Amino acid sequence: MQNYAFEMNDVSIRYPHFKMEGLNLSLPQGQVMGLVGVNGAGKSTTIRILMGLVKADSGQVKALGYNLPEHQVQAKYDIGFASDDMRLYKSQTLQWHMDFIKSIYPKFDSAYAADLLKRFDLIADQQIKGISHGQRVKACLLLVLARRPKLLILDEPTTGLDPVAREEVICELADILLDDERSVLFSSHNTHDIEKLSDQIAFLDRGKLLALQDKESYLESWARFRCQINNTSSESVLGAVSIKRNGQIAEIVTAQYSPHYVAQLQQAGFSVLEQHRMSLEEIFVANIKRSR
Amino acid sequence: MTFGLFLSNTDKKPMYLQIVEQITSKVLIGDWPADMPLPSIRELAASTQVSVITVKRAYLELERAGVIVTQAGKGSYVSANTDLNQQLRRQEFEQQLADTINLGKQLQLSDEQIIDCVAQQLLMQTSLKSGVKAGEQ
Amino acid sequence: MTTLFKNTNMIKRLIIKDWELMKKGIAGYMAAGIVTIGIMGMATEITFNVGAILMITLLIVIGARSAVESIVNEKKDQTMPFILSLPISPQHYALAKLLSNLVLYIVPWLILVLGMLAVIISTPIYNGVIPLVVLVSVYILAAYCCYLATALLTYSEGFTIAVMIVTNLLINAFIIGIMRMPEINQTFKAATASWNSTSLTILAAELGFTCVILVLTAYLQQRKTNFL
Repeated sequence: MQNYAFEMNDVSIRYPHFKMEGLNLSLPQGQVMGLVGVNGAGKSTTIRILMGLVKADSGQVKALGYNLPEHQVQAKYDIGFASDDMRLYKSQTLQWHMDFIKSIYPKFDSAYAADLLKRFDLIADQQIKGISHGQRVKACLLLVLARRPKLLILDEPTTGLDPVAREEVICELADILLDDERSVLFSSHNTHDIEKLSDQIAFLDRGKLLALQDKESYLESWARFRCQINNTSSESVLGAVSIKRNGQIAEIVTAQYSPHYVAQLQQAGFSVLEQHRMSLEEIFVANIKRSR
Repeated sequence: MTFGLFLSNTDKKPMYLQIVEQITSKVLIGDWPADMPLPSIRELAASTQVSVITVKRAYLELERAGVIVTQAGKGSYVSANTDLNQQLRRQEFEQQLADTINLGKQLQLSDEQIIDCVAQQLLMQTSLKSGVKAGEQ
Repeated sequence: MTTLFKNTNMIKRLIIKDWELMKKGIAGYMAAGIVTIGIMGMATEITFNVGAILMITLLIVIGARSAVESIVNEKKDQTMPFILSLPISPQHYALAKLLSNLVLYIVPWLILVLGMLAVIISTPIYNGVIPLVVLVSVYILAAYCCYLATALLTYSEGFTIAVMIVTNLLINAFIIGIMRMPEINQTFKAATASWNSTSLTILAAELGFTCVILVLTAYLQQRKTNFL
């Protein structure tokens, strides 16, 4: 039987200016899911529902086998959550926060925390009000990582970090990959980080799930061609997401790439000059343009 | 520790292919000898900061190409196949030749022109090395 | 299952956390309170009146500060996502907030009020003033509960401050109002404190009102489904 880190079945929620309907999203245990979407796409709402902080109007939500929001207390013992809008108590030190977390979670690993402190270049006795944005984000992550939660939920963990801090954070996240019982859900509009670490890509836009697929086949299904066209070229090609023409050259983007696709293009009168893979960022933009 | 793999985000090749190529070349050079156990998929993923699914795919491709052997429950090993070296080099040669031909096509060269170019290149190399006696095995 | 994980331990942790965050401030106010009680203890009419005004101000400030600092700022400073990520339900979090604020206000309030009463009894000040002191102190407690409720239910700085201003403006009206009542006025300068039906009725009304506010707050908190 497949174990799931979380499952959302047919989840709907309505706000005055936002609605999410019939969302189905689940993550097998041991995998990393990247949640991609523009601001306001519903990433944070999804995450809040998963943390039991917002009750969906309908649908079932389970995390680590517990029903949410009813059994969120048990679930949250094994979930670690950090978001970029999370703040610590300004008047207290990081050490105070570590002691506080340790008093709640017996599993908090002080040795690992000390290790992270060094690697993240943080000072335990410094008051939170004196530290920079990047250090604060790393401090929040330290508090979460040192308990080794079974499910890590990170809302924009790398937003606003400088490249060095981002590298440090990614490096620690990668460490989680070693354990096949630990799962990660992270949202980001930095598609780069998601492209690197995720096994699954979930694409949200305006409260709808545009795609949910394993990253390798997802990236592979998209391709961009530069073609030469002639008078016999047809107007459209099967599976093309966009066709841009300029003089005798056309750029075609497809979301249904297979080795036969080049032949299909040829038949439609487009002779392929170049073929490119697309980065997640390019796919992201193309996908949103298509769906709107 | 990255197990000696140097992966790049700016490389045009997909990540799994970079892993396949770099491991293949390690085996070719002999840095990774026959029967050497490979790092587990999760170990390699964590150390290179690449997702598990990507490494999984790379290992599958490597297995298909005969570079590594995977045994259920035991992990993966460098293949002990003795012809492997020859086979791999042959594969690499074919790959590079295919790339060259593609480039030629982009330059709008006809098939005959491409064959001519190859013939010319062969001729030049033999005349250059005629005195030295070509050293390639 | 839920009963298995009775969350009293977590609620206790959060109350201790609030105490740790506020203890410095509370210590400062207690020091100021002792000075104020000392001034009242000089037992001249002027010092007693000055002390009483200072004490009223102090009791209001302690309440205002705790409500703003521990509730409104939790939202404004975005420490709420941090706390809500801990193994606690939003409903229990709200309950913990209500309890910690009550405890962290009622304890200093009680110490200061008892201190005042002790000074009144042990010095030549007319003990007849005691009902008045008690009624005003309980009024301040009830007012505190009003803006505590506002803070807990709205997490809005604006509404909370509005309720603070209204209840504090009414305090003058309240004092003048009860001073004009003959039953209180006539016993005011007596040597002993005399409780009569009027003062006891007012006290009961104040306490009843406070309880209703608190119970209503706890009830409404538990019905909330969306947090953050």
